[in-house]
Amino acid sequence: MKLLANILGLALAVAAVSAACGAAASLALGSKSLSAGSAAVTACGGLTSLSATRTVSNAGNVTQVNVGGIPAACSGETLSVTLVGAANANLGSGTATLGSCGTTCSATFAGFGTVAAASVVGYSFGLAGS
Amino acid sequence: MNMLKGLAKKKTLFALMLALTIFGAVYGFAATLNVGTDQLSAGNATVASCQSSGNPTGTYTVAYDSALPGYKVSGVTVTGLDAACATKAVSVTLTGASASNLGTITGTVPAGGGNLALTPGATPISAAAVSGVSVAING
Repeated sequence: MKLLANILGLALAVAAVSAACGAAASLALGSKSLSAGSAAVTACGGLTSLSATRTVSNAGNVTQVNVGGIPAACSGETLSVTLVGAANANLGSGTATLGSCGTTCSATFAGFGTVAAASVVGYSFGLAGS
Repeated sequence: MNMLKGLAKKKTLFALMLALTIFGAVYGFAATLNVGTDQLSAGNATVASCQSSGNPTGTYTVAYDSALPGYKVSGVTVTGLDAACATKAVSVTLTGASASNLGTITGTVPAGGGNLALTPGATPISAAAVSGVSVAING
C-alpha cells in the first residue's frame, strides 16, 4: 500500500509539472494602437476645358495670364499655372485662389518676372483643394 | 493465506509495471514531439485605435515639375489628428489607378495631435495620377 501511495504521489507530481509547462506556453501579449483608412481623391472637374490667354508688354514679356473655363465646382480651390518653355522648363508660375463662380470660373495671374513671350511653348495647370 | 498475500503482491507489482509502461510511453511520445521543433507561444490582445473622433483629412499642395512634365504633389497635410495619436508614426500612401502605390510618405504626429505636414520624396508624384489616399497611424 505504501508503494502504491508513492506511485500515486509521483504521478501527481508529474501531472503538476506538465500542467505548469502547458501554462508557460501561453504568451501574455500586448499591442500598440493601429488606425488605418483610405479615401478617394476626387477632382473638381476636368482641366481640359481650361483656356489661357496672355498679355505681352512692349518689351515682349508676359505680364499677365488669364485662365478661363474652370469648372464651377472648383470654386474655393487653389489654381496654379506655369509658363512652360523648351524641354518642359519652368519659366514662371503663379497661384490664385478661385472665388465664387457662375457657370465657370476664371482667374488672372501676374508677376511672372521677365519671361519672353517667344519662349513660352505651353501652360501647365494644377488644382488643389484647400 | 500466504497464497493470497502472494497473489496481492503480484497484483501490486503488475499494476506498478503497467503504470511505468504507460508513463514511459507518454514520456517517449512527448520527447518525440520536442525533437526538431521551435518554441511556440500564443496569446491574444486588443488592437486599439488612438483616433476616436473625426476623420483625419488629407489636403495637398502642388508644384510644377519639368521631369514629369506637369504638376506634382509637393506636400500633403493630414489634419484632424487626435491628441491621443501624438508621437505615433503616420504613413500616407497616395494611390493611383487600380490602387497602385504612387508613393508613401511617413511622419510623426505632433504633440497634441492636430495637423501633420509631409513632403514627398525626390521621386515626383504626378498630381493628375492621384486618385486615392491611404493613411495608417501606428505606435
